[in-house]
Amino acid sequence: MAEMDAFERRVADTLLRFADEVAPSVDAAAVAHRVALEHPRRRVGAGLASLRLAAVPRVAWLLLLAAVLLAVLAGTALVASRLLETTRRVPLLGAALVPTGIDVLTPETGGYARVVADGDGILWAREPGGRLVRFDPANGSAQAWTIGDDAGFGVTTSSGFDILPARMGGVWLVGRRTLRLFDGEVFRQVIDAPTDIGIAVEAPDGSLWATTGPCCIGTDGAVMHWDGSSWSSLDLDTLNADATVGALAVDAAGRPWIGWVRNVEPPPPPGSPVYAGWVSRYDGSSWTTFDATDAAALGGGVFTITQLPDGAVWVASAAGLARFDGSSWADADGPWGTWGASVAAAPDGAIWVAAYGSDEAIGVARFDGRSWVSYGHSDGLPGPNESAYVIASALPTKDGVFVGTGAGIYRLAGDRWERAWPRGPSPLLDLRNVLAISRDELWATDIYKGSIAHFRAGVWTRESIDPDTPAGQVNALARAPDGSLWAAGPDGVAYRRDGQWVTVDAAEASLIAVGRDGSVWVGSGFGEECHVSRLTPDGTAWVRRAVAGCPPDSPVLSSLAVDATGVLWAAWTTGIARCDGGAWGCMGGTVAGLARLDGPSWEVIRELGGSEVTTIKVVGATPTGDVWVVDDPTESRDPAQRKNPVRAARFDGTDWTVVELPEGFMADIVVAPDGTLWAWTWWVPASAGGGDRGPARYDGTAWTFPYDGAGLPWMELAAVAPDGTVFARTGFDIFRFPDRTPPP
Amino acid sequence: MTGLASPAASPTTAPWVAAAVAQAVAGDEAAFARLVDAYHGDLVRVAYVVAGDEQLAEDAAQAAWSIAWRKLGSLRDPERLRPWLVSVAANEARQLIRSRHRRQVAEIRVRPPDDPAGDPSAVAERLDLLDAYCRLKPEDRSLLALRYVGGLDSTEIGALLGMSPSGVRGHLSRLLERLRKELRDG
Repeated sequence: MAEMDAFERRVADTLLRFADEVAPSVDAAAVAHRVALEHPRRRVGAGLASLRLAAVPRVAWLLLLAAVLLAVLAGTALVASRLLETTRRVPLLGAALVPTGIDVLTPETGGYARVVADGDGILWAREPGGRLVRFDPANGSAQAWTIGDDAGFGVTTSSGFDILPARMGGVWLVGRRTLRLFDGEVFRQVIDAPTDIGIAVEAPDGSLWATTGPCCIGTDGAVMHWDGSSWSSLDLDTLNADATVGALAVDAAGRPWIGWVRNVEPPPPPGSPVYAGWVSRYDGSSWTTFDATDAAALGGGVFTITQLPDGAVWVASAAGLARFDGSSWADADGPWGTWGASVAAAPDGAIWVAAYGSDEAIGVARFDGRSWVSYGHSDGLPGPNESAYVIASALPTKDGVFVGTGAGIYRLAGDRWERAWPRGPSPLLDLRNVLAISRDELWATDIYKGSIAHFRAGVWTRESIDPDTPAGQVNALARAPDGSLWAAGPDGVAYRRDGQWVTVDAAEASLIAVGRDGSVWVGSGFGEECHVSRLTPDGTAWVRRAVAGCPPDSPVLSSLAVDATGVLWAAWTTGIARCDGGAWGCMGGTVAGLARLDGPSWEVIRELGGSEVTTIKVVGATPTGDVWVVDDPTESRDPAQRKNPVRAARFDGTDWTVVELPEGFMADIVVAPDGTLWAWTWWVPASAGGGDRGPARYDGTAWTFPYDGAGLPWMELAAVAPDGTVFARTGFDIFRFPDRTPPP
Repeated sequence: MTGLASPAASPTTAPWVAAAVAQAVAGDEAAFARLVDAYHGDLVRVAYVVAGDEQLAEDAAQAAWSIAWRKLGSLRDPERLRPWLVSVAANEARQLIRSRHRRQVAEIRVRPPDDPAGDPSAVAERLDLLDAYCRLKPEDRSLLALRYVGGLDSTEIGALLGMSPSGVRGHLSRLLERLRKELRDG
């Protein structure tokens, strides 16, 4: 956004003052419990503490609380280690990788969510999509693994805490409930945790510690310890922390340290989160608390605790940096001051701090024992908005000083920082609107960097509609029957033929659809400016004819499709209409509904399968003339409707047929060129074909699960090519499923 | 060489959020509670600026959490959690306004400022501006609330509303111009 003028500042100030009239307070646990009860998950992944919240009666809580109070009053030890489960899993040794056959088509971007240095000085980086990179600082070489190499490289979501360094070399991959030690060739250990894993660390003695997944309300949860053969846990309940665990560390004496984070009350203005915090250390029988009375920096939300080789413990928080020498604390008065810091010691004894500031720029500082020297964007480090993920990891090694960022691994060369890996520029970041031509060819739009990405025969290239704006945004893609590619964006509408882009209209368009007869339809806008138009060739030029305004209370146009008979279908956030070449009238009004233009008048359909239409979207049309829509009542304005499941419906030109979506359905559905319907499922029950999750296919009669989705990250189905190849995507990657003809 | 940035205000998402989102997607109620605790205030404030009614704003925020629980799995980038949540709350507020309009419930209410010692002319200007703002349609109020109270930029708003960033900027400019004109003419 450009800098505000005086009037805009006045508007902003007035609205912020207006917002200040409310002083919201919330019982967060109660809200969470209510929505979880209203909408139970098919498979609750919560750990022990979560089960306590959800299922234990209030009486039991009171009894538990009374027991704890009695124990404290009696002077008993605050917390004792107890077994979480009697199960002892013998770690696997040398488990070879098992390729999945899934190809990750997107190249390494350097958009790392986490970068660490192992005990051998090897750097490991992980992209949010799961790709793991091993970078050898000694020679600058790198190797990468993806989910195609083994399902263990998949991640359930884009968590930033999913690798941690192994002191004996290698890296731990942290899954939802599994820790895998990868040495660059095999998984040397595979350890299952009894509950969800939050933050994990490897202790100096090689044992593993982790917060339980639901640890994060400090009055709940636990710290788990894997001693090499079994898990035990240390309850955090009695700390009554009423805060979140922001950091976990274990010192050389085997004592766990916890850094706490709590929102400052009253809440600061939006966009300015400020966190308070403190540190707790467990000495084997009791907890010791260190807070702002010990060092000012300990009063901020704590996100990093590190013990350096000299034994000093450093704490980085929202309030700065503090050092504990074993007996007393001291604030480190240096050139940082943000909570995204990491601290590490170089072989020469210098202390390196990496951090990022409110502008998302990376900063690095070196302390030689007397003074600090700092580096920023002008010294070659990534600047604001240059990182896919805002992280900063100080990584001094015997082969040089590195910093891990969301824009790659940087090395200090003299007084300048240079990107050491990836060597080339980041090629792609966030691909949307995937259009599959074949197994070996894709088109997609990049919402981060603009322009269009083209994948062909294993190579990605970029194209732009307008050579004068090479990073111009593209909102939507469509393919015409003659094979030409059409694109719509803020700079207009264009088609590509014989490798050249030709702009046919300069008006902004956010959606585009091309019919079998080559008719081109575009739509865009918001509120009164919403429009739908048809583009037709007229001699050597193209003419745009507006055919419709959007319904007054359904302002955002969400989808366009042309069916096999040339009829245009459109959907808004709260309604759908079918335009058959005539004037586009008003339909639906303020009530969500489904309408189709049948001759000169609209036929409004308010029900599908006997229940009211809520939030509806046109998914696509089949070659045989069917139109598929998805109705999602979970966002209905009627609370009673929200409990109904998402459903798909098919219009065959005469009747609507409602189709129940498969077990575990999670996201958008895709209509394949052969007319089959595809949906991404999250947890597929054994009764529905087995496998953990993955793509589901509807052939007109039943849903089947053609692929084993075990270990896959959560994905969204992106496209199905005419040759049947299935493509899926996460926020950063595109996946191609094995060439396999789905079973009949 | 330069110093590091000031810690005063960090708009970036806290590192724990990604983990909390992952856990909440997996059905972890307590992790979801963390998110509620962190963002509920933002949701209510934005909804309040859209609706002008405290109870309605609270209802909108509660409804937004219900949607968030069900839809969190579709959030690909935890960095976008807050924009997504506030937009859901704004949308819920807008829907509730419509629902109440159908039942003939009162329009948005503007309270006089609590600071009687403030500059009277400034107070009057602010009330005039709020008066003009309240005459906007709910979706337009929603857009302004997302921008100036939610702190979303045009790219974030565009992604959430299905508009281009330039389209968002254009629409905001026109809304500001409309407010400016109403104040000038009013």
